[in-house]
Amino acid sequence: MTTRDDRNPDQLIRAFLDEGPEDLRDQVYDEVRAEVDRTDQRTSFAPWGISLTRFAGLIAATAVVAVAVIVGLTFGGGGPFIGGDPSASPSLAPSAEPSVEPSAEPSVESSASPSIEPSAEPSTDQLPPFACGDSETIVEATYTDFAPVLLTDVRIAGHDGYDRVVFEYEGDLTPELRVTPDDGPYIQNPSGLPVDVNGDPVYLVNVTGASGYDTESGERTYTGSTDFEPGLDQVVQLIQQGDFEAVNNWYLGVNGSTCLRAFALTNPGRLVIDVQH
Amino acid sequence: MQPTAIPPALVEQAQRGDRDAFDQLARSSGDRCQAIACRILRDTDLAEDAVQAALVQAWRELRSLKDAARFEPWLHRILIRACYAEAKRRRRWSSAIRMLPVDLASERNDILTVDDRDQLERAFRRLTVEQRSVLVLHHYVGLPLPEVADRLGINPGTAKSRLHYANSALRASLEADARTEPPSQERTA
Repeated sequence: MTTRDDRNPDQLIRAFLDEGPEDLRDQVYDEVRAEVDRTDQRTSFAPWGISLTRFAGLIAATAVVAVAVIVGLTFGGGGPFIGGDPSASPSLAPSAEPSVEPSAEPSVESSASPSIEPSAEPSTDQLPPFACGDSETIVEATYTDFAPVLLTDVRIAGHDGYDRVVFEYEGDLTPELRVTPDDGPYIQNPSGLPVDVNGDPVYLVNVTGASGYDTESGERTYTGSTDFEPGLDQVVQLIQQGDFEAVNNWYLGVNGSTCLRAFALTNPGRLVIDVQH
Repeated sequence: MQPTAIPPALVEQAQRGDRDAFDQLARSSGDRCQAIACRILRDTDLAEDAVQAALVQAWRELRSLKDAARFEPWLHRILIRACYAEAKRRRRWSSAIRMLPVDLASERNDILTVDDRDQLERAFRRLTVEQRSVLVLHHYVGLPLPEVADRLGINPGTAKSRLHYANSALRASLEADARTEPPSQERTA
């Protein structure tokens, strides 16, 4: 006869885990189907999900960026930047460029992690113009690896004529940025739970190829706030929508402005979104 | 548990936006997802919510899946993250503990006594959801540790330490039970 002490604990643990439900109710399948019928698939922009043609395009874009950086360093005087191309979206109607020089990096709201002193920002005439309306603002990625770039800091600050949001990354590369007007519903990724976002309009800040979590080390690289309410003229709230599968998304709630510009900076890699006052 | 073979062609069809193809994918994978989520969360309703969220998320993000043959590991990774979110949600709004319904058990193991189940259940609930996930993927799904680490997106060393801690905690609960209960107790529940 077997006694309790003779039994293998691992065998008992497996037996314990073997017990339990193994069927999903039909009602759940039906609810999933109904949700799928209401939901569009997200277009994939990351290199691990793109077509060969798209990847070739990214390589070409990277080459263009490299040339732009060299030209900028040689003739520009200021730090190199990569601006969103307004011509990529014909419906964009750029407003007049602001006449003020951008001030130093924002300091109103910062995460707990210390910031790296960034390189000089480009002068105003080097910045892309503000684009107004419902169009998407895009900044192409500069990464050349399949691994996501790691988010280290998020900063928001008010400047003369605009509010600025900065996402800073480890190293010199930047992921792809898309800023799109979003009428909701606002949900967290991947939980699908609803989230309240203050501001009107609200933009989805879709950053593809980035993460605040280093899967190699198992450590978070971004430990700052995921919900900013800086109380600025235009930026009402910036709240993380999700950080999952190398897609680091945020909702940006704004106080009425529909005029944005976005660009990338290097040394360290940064994505910048300016909201015009 | 035995995995269901998912035809890559069906995944590719769904990646092109075919909702009926995805419906087939969901129905092929749903039971296995529910079994995993139930064991991690120890709550049928929460598990259903996690599976539903994971399947909808999978549909939305399906085009980012590079290798159609890796659909199931990819889905399980989404599912685990959904389980983490559900566990956090439960911690926020309820401290009540609900046991898995006994009448829904797929089969009862004669090897386990009522006390075994009670002790293991208590010890299991004291584990973090991250530790539970490693335990379930390794012991229940039957994945080797490197594959567990890959599916969870963590280092193999992290997976190993989580498994070690979880195993130790469950073994300790059984040993404590053995020390306090007479060996002649009835074995089956």
